[in-house]
Parts: sequence; structure tokens; C-alpha cells
Amino acid sequence: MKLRTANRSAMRPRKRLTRLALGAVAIGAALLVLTALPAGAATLSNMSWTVSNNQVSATNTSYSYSFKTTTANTIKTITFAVSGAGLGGAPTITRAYGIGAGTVAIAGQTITYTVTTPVAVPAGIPIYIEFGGLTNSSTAGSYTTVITTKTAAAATIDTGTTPAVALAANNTAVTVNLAKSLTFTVDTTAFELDMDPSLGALADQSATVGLTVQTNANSGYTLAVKDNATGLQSSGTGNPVIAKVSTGKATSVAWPGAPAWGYTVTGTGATVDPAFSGSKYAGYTAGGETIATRSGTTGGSADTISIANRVAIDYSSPSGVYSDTVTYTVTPNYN
Amino acid sequence: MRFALVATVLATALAVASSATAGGSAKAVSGSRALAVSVPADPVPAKVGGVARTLIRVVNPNDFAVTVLIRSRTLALGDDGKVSVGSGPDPRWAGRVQFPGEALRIPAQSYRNVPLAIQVPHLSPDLYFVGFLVTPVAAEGGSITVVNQIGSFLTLDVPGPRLRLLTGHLHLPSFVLGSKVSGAMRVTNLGHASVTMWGENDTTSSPGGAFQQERLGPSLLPVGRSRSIAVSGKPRWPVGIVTVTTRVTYPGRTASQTRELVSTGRVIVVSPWVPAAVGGLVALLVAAIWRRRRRRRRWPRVSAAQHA
Repeated sequence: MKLRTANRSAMRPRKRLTRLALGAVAIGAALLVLTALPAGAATLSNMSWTVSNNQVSATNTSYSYSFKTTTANTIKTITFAVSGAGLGGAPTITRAYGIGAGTVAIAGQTITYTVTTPVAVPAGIPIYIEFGGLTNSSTAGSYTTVITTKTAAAATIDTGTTPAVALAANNTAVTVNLAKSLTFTVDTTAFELDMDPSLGALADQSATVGLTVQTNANSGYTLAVKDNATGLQSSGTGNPVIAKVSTGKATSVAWPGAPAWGYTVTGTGATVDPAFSGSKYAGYTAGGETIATRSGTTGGSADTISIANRVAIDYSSPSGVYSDTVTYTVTPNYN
Repeated sequence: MRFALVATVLATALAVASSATAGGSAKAVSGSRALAVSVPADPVPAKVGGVARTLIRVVNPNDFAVTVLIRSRTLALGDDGKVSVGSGPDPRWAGRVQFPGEALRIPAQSYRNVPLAIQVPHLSPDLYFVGFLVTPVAAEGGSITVVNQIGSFLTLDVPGPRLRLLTGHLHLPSFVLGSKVSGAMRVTNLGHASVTMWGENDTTSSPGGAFQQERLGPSLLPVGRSRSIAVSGKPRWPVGIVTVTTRVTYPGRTASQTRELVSTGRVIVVSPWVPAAVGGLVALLVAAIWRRRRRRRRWPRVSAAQHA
């Protein structure tokens, strides 16, 4: 009796486990069957449609569509069926976000975007596609676009209709051309240093030139500086030259004392070349060197860059009037 | 106390005297000068063998007139959008674009539109850059003259199908002790034409992170040049695996098709306070065990004594 009881109690957990396993298999199979079944097309969300020019018959118009996927699936094509008639042009792909690279074609009122290498797109992914090169219908009226995402088997995944866009003949088309612009200001266009080797304060002097740069170039700007090939020279006394503190920014040094002529850079907004960190000085070069850059637009606040020009002399420097021309060049970067 | 006071007064007097002498000898002999140059934001369409017409604008924001010279210059396009202007005229455009030969006087608070007619030679379809330099005529006087000049360029677009090819590499660490992961996608143009690319940086994190899409605006990449695109991602919890997918899209042979570069990286991100918290917990645990053992050592002696 005892043995029987022991066997039964040992068998119970096994039975439970078998039942659990069978249940799990059944649930899994049901889920597989459910997912394999063709789901009913859901509605796309957050749909919008804008046109760059809503005059009838306007050419080279851009149509921008945005929406969010509702159903996770592999999208092969997206069709944009514009209501009415008269849509024309040769569409180009200006931008596409949230979807892989593809091609665009137009047939009648339908623009089709075909994904080159389809991949699974989860639900809730924002997609934005902008087509260029389209020609508006010649008929004034209210138009909508039915957007449909499809699988490789052309089965509809999600679909929806955009809000209406009105095309009219009596609109005023407004085009604002905003130029790529750069403003460059220097606060000192010429300066003098009255020097005397007999007193430390007069033998080692600095003059700071303040520059400001403001641009709407997306990639910012590059600021370079150069001076005359002859450097700081005195033509009146047989061309003696006060030596440059270094041959360029690559060999920048802490201020070594007289006799020397050099500069250092500090700035706000711009990225100053690291050669000038720790108040290091460099000599100007005739070929020019980049001293500061910015990788984006300055926005409403101008960048400020200060160039401290420093000259130190001693009794080895012949008396006379020394001169040089320092040229700062700012160039907007390409976007 | 008296010595300290005298020293302070002396130091102050010396500082004032030295600053007065040092500052008195450097003088600006000519004031500020501003200058602005504007060009069309978009490339100018240019048909081979035809004439592309455009203009540049030179603006004088000063309260006095400024005289400027506009001259052709070579351009050197670098990585990450950088441009430098050469010292001589661009031979490609010699005789094909006429910049004003004489200096232009721009009245105060005014501007001059400078129309340009560019004769387009036989070029393959691509973007081309016409560089120029606007230099103000330097003021007289002063031993050191300062010139602020602006280099700029016009972009011409010769239409037609072109061979575009980009390559890229996503640089991401595999582990970050911090709150977010930062990296860069380095894209290089290996094709035969400039490329205007755009893209997106998609991030998800596990566990529980929602999909994040950061859109990257259009940017130009000339032939042989590279550009870095900053990418970043954040886990939802203090510890997580962040998956960063960077997609760079660009036009194919024509603008009706696109190509793409897709790179994905996974990074384990651990917030710095997690190790600190774990360390604290371990310390507490060790302290608790030590305390318990200490109590056990004391109590058995007492109970043994009581039993005895």
C-alpha cells in the first residue's frame, strides 16, 4: 500500500507537466494560425499631405506625405492615389524617412513608391516621403490622397485618406528666396603700437582685434588668417624684421619674450584651433592658416573671435616704423 | 597688520600704474568695418554650352561707404563641409565668368547686386563651384593694417544622370558607462559626382525602450570627401542595450530612385550610479554579516557560562 501511494504521488507532477506542455503547444499553435491568417487592413494614422504650390497646373511641384504605420509588416510598395484627374510630371524622390530606399513611378493618378529591399516595419513608425517634379491638375477643387502600404504579394497592410488639399486658380503663390548669407565684422581696421625698449610695459605690447561672424550656412564657416610674405618689417631701416614667434600654428609656443611678433586666439561660439590653447602664440603665415571653424549656423547670435596681436622688442631691434597687413578670410562651408 | 595694509596699498598702486602704462601705447587708428556677402541658397541650373545667370549681393551695413574688389578664386573643398579659398583665380572659369574689373563703391547701409553670366563649358552632369573673394579696400594709416575679406562660392548644377556611390562606417563603442551612447557615422563619397544625402538615426533600447527616429537634413558630399554624422541613443532604464541604426539615403543614377547605407550597432549602457548602488548594497550586506557574526561570537560564551 505504501509503495502504491508513493508511485501515485510521484506521478502527479509528471501529469501536471504533460498537461502544461500540451496547453502551451495548443496556445502556440493557435497563435501561429492567427498570425498566419491575412489580417484586415488597418487605418494609417497621423496622415498629412502638403503641396509646395497649390496653383492649378503648377509645374515642378513637391508633394509631401507623412503618416504612421498601424500594422507591423514588410512593406514593398506604398501607393499614393490622388483623387480627381490631371496629375502629371515626372516624380522624383526628394526625401524619404522611415522607409528604405526605393524608386518612384507614376501611372495616371497614382504615384507608387517601391522599396528596393523590403524589411519588416514595426507598427507606429513615422514615415515621410516627399516627391518633386509633379504637375498639379488643371482643374480647381478639393483633392485627397489615398495612401496604401502593401506587401510583396500586393496585399494591403494599412490604408487611409489624407486631409484635403485645395487647388485653385485664384490663389496667390508666394515664394520667399532666402539667400545664403555671411556677415563679417572687424572692430579695428588698423592699429599702432608705440614701443620703447627702455621700459618693460612699452617693450612688450598687445593689440586685440575683435571679429564677429554671423551666417545662416547650415555647415557653418571657416576663418583663416595670413599676413604679408615679408612679415612685420621696417623698410626704412634696411628691412630689419621682427621675427615671428613661430613658423605657424603647428609650432605654436608659450610667449618666449623679445624680440617676437605673434598672435593668439580666443573665441565664443566658434571652435578655436587647439594650437592656441593655454595662451600659446603662433606666427602669421603668408599662405594663410585656419584658426577657427563652426560646423553649423550661428543663428541670431554672432560668434566672437578675439585675436591678440603681440609684439616684444629689446635693444637688438633696430628703431624704425614696422608695418604688416593681417588679412582675415571667412568662407561659408558647403552644406 | 600695519605691514599688511602698507603692502596692499603699494600693490594696488603698482597694479594701477602698470596697467596705465601698458594700456596707453597700443591704439586703434581706424575703427570697425562690417561686410556681408549673399549668394543663392540653391544650385543654379546650368545647361552645358549655355549661359547660367545669377547674382551675388555685397552688403555694407556700416554708416560709411565701403569700396570692395571682387575677384575669382580657386576653392578647396575639404571634409565635413570645410571650404578654403585659394590665392589665385580658378582656371576652370577663366574667361567664362566676368567679375567686376573695377572696385565697387557701396554706399552706407546699402548693397550692390552683382549680376553674373556664367558660360557653362562641356561638363559631365554634376555640381560645380565658382569661387570668389570680396575684399574691402584697406584703410590708410596705422602701422598694422587689418583686412576682413569674405570668400564665397556659387553652385552650378549641370543636369543629367550621374554615378553616385557612398560608403560608410558606424563608429560606436560596445560598452558605455554613462547615461547615453554617442558615436558617429563616417560617410565617404566614392562616386564620380557630388551627392546630396539625407538620413535618419533610429534607436531602440531593451528592455522597454520605444522607437526613436531622428531625421538628418540634407547635406552635400563632394567627390572624394567625407562627412561625420553624429549619432546617439539612450536606454529607458539605468541599464539597457541600445540598438542604433543609421540610414543614409541618397539619389541613385537619377532622382527617381534612391540608394542607402544602413549600419546597425548595439551598445550596453550602464548608468554610473548602478555600480555605485551595487557597491553600496554589497557593503551593507558585508556589514550586516559581520555584525551578525560578531553577535554570535558574543552570545555563545554567555549561554555557555549560564549553562555551566
